[in-house]
Amino acid sequence: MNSSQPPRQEQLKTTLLKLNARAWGIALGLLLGLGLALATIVLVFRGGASVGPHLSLLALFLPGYSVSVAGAFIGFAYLFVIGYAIGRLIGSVYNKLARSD
Amino acid sequence: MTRRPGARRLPREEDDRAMTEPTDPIELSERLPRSATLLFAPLDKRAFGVAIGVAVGLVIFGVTAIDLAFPSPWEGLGLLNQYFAGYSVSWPGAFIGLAWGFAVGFCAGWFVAFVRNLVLAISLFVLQTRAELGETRDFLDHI
Repeated sequence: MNSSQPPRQEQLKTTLLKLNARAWGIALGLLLGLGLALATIVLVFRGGASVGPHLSLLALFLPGYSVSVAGAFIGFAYLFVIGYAIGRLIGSVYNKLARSD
Repeated sequence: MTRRPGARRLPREEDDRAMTEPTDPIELSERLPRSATLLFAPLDKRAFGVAIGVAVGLVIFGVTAIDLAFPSPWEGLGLLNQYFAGYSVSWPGAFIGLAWGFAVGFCAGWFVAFVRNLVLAISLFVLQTRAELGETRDFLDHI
């Protein structure tokens, strides 16, 4: 560390960001959940002979999910929980490994 | 150190901070408040890379494991081997996917943190330069 730098500049360079694991969880959960819900709703409103044949494959991993309005809510709930867990994991692992200032 | 009767006891964290932070008024005025330093605080690239890598690796492993739990696994997941050499919907494939996911996630996370830190450093430099220019703009008036 260069001690000749003014304290303010030194402070800005040495302070490392810590992540708020809960906020990361909620943010990632909402992002994934709303993403799937929106994709499902768009396909439902577009309609057609076969509605969302590819997206409906998600039902293999998310039991109860389907390309329908009810399925959009179920998918949102599933992906919110999964996204929350992933976001929380990212926040916790980062905070454990980040150098403390 | 004696305390005034009835004075509020500092929590341990505040005690520590009081011991490490400067008490000299000149040095205090030079220091930025914690909230201001956090505005431009950089991310630890290595730690962020590892965090994203662990998350991506576990997602690939978990999805493969769930698929394997079914009596007739969905082979569509095996298409991942177009990108992840050696991956397949099998238990060894799940571990290969975990390793690939960690590697790819680490690179992506490290790069995201690097770009974020770079953009923040550039914006901090621009702000500092503008502030310094603003301070010295009228220096001729003071001569």
